[in-house]
Amino acid sequence: MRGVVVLCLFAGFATSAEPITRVSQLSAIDQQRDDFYGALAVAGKSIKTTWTLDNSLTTSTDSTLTLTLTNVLNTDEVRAPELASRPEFITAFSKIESPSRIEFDPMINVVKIITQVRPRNAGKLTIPELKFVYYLPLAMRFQTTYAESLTRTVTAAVAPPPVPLDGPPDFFVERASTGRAGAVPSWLWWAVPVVISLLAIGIIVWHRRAYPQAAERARILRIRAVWVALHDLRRLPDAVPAQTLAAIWQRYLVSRYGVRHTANTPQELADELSRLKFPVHRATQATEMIALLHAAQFGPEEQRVSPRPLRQLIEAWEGLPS
Amino acid sequence: MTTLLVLLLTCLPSDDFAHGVQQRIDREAARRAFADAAQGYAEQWKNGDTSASNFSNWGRAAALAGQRPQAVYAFRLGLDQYPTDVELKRDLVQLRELIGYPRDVNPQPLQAWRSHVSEADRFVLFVFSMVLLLGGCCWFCTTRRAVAWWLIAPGLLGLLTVLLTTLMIQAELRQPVVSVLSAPVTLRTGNGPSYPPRLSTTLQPGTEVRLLHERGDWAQVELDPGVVGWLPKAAMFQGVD
Repeated sequence: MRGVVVLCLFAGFATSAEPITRVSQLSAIDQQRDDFYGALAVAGKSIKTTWTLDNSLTTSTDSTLTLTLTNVLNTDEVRAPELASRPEFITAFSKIESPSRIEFDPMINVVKIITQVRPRNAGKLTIPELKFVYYLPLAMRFQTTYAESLTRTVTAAVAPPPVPLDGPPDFFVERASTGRAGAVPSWLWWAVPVVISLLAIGIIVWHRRAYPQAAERARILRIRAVWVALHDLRRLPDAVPAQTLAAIWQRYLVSRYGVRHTANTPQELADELSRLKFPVHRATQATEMIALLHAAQFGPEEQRVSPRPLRQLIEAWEGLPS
Repeated sequence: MTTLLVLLLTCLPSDDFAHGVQQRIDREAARRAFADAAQGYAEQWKNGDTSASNFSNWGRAAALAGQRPQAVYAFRLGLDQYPTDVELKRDLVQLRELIGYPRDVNPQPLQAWRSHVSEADRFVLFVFSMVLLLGGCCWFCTTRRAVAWWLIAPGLLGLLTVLLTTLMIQAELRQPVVSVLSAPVTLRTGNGPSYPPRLSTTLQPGTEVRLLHERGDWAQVELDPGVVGWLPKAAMFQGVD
């Protein structure tokens, strides 16, 4: 029993005598000490802390705030102080990067804690003093050092030159007020033809009553043979070849009264009209007309004749007012 | 009372528009003013101002405020009521150039017949044709003169034109509704994100598409005649609240 106790004491002595090289070898309470960020000093040396900040500072741009630690034994274990939660830093800076970036070099025992910050106000800027606690492994105790405060001058932010708004030139012009949509009511589509139709019928009725002769003329002109003959005659000039009038006259007789096409000469026409029991005076008029036209057509010198007598004859036969 | 009147006057979208034009050298300030103006014009539309100028100004202000989907929406609303309005058509064409459509893809065509022949045009032609037709008939009935056909024939031709134009416009109105995209989106070959893209480029906000079908949260759209694909319904502009 006594031997076991002696062995345990020896083991404890041996453990405490071995220098501490890692934070985990410290007790849990020691690891949570205020302002201790896990830094152990190189044997026989003390840790130096230094603030570094850009010389030219503005309130519109970010700057790099660096806390440099030298003579750090466990460079890979050092934690960054939480600057963003410290009131003195919040007062000084409008923007504090969190967490900070850590760079370390174990060969030269240097740790750099880099934080992007943006000064809050223009004028004099003081980087607050930072308390930094570290552990001395050989002395087996904690040591406190301070990163000395730093003063810089901050210039006011220079506003970037405004960028003009681009766009189609027409878009920058406010359109003058216009009227509202004037849609055509659907009933108007039906009302218009009805009204115009009624108007047309009214005009026709009025015309028939006001001009009975015109009405009679219109009624007779519904007969196609009459209409065609008068239409053709109206289109002719004052003097035309006799054969043209003869053709119109013969076509009229054929289509209106059923005269045969073969009745070309005055005698043939007279026979045909006689066969059709045509009134004598009309048959005479028809024969004389064709004889007159043939005389002009087949005479020694071809003559041009007026269509007026033929038109008057047809109008007289049809009872049309001339 | 005077204060209230001043307040009302200062809230007019025209003032915001003018302010935006004045602030043109500063993009951010101008955009804020144009956004206020666009909101004001939209309010006027909701309160019953359906004039073509209000739609034009709403779209222009929204476009200058960077709200292109809303601008296309405003121009489209205007053209729906004023299909033949030259300024609205020109504004929409200019905005489409800003939006940028994928290569070889043309914007949704405007309704060709409807945008060229207004209802008033058709009505005037209809009345004129009716007058010619019935006037010619009237003349022919009373005189039996063949020259009346020189009135009857154009009248018939005019009525036929009105009929055909109306049929074409009715056919255009039966086409699917045009929607506007509110966010950049990839047109896909199927109704899911796992389907491959239909086009090599992303569709930009403000792009007009014709809605064909809907399935779940996805919509089948036609971008250009023949360019059909699927996109999430959430990417479609839902209009103005």
